[in-house]
Amino acid sequence: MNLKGSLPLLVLHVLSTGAAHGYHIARQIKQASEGILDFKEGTLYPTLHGMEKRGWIESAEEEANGRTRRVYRITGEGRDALAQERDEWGAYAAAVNLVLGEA
Amino acid sequence: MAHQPDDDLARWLGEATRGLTPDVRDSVQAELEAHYHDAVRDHVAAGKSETDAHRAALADLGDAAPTARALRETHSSPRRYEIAMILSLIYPFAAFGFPALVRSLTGSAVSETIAYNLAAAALTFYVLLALRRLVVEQTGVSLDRQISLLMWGIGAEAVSTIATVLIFGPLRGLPYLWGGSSLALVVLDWVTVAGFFTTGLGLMSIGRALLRLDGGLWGLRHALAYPALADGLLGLLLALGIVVAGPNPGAAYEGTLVALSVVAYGLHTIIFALLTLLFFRVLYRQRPDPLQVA
Repeated sequence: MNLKGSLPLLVLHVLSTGAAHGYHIARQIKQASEGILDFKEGTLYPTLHGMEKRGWIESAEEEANGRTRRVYRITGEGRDALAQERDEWGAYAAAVNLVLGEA
Repeated sequence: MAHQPDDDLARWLGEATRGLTPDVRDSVQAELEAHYHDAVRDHVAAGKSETDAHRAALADLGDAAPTARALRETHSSPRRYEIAMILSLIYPFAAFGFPALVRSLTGSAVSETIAYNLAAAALTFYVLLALRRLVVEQTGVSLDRQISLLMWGIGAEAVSTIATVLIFGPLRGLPYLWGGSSLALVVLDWVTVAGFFTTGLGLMSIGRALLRLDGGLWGLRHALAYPALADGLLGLLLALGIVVAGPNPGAAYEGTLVALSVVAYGLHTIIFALLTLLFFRVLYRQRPDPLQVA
């Protein structure tokens, strides 16, 4: 299912539970949604880099199993953005449900 | 032929990171490569063969094109659109105002001609390169051949005209109709004519390429393509007229060619400025939001 612009919210939520690299973030989203939120994983990286430029997350390179990985962490600004994105998503979902409920 | 997963990955990484600066490209490729190998490991652990695991990991990454567009948008400054738009706006000034300013400062018609050709060629090249990059970034359509043709034509016109005034002094009438007073002049005449011809072909091929772009926001393409085609045709007619005229064709014929030349130059300058300004504006407005790409 298309993420309908919700990827930043989902990434912020995953990172609010702890630092993670891109692959782990993608797995978390897919597993937590029981495979329903299935997106092309290449597109995760422009989103991560865009969020980093906005100051929502920060990253550092770490060595693991002989391979360099970029690990992301949520920032204070990211936590504020998460709260705001969560509110907006809640309002959006409620509005859609209202319409569907009336149909 | 045996399946080559490393080649497939390298091709995907190259396409996804095309257009990034070398530092950013290396860093992003390393990150995506680590992601790919983690995915291969998990697919193998889930019971897939090595070959199937590589194939599945690549499929998980998806099509490289949307990733490439969003990565370029993330790692480039939006100012590149604004700079390109500003240069499009000042192009007519560079073509007409700047040479006049140089002449008023130096009192030299030769300086004016050199200033015109250098300023116009430099700006044109910058704007064409920006156009080529942004069109490929956003549409995947390559204008390499068409824009190279136009750049060669404009370059030949500029170099031959500058060389002509440096060697023979200020222009009097159309330099390519001076005719046969020296071998150098004949050579420069023909380079100029070839420049007109190539510029005309380049403009016409860009016009044709614009017409082949998809619709949607590219609805503007007709407004831009047809004047480009007309201007290209004028350039070709001018080149043909010069070739047919031969040296010293007479005042009436030269007068006709001068009029055609003035129309071609004026039209070219206005079309080029409008075409690039509108293009950059459309590209700016439909640039992707990297956070909304999935």
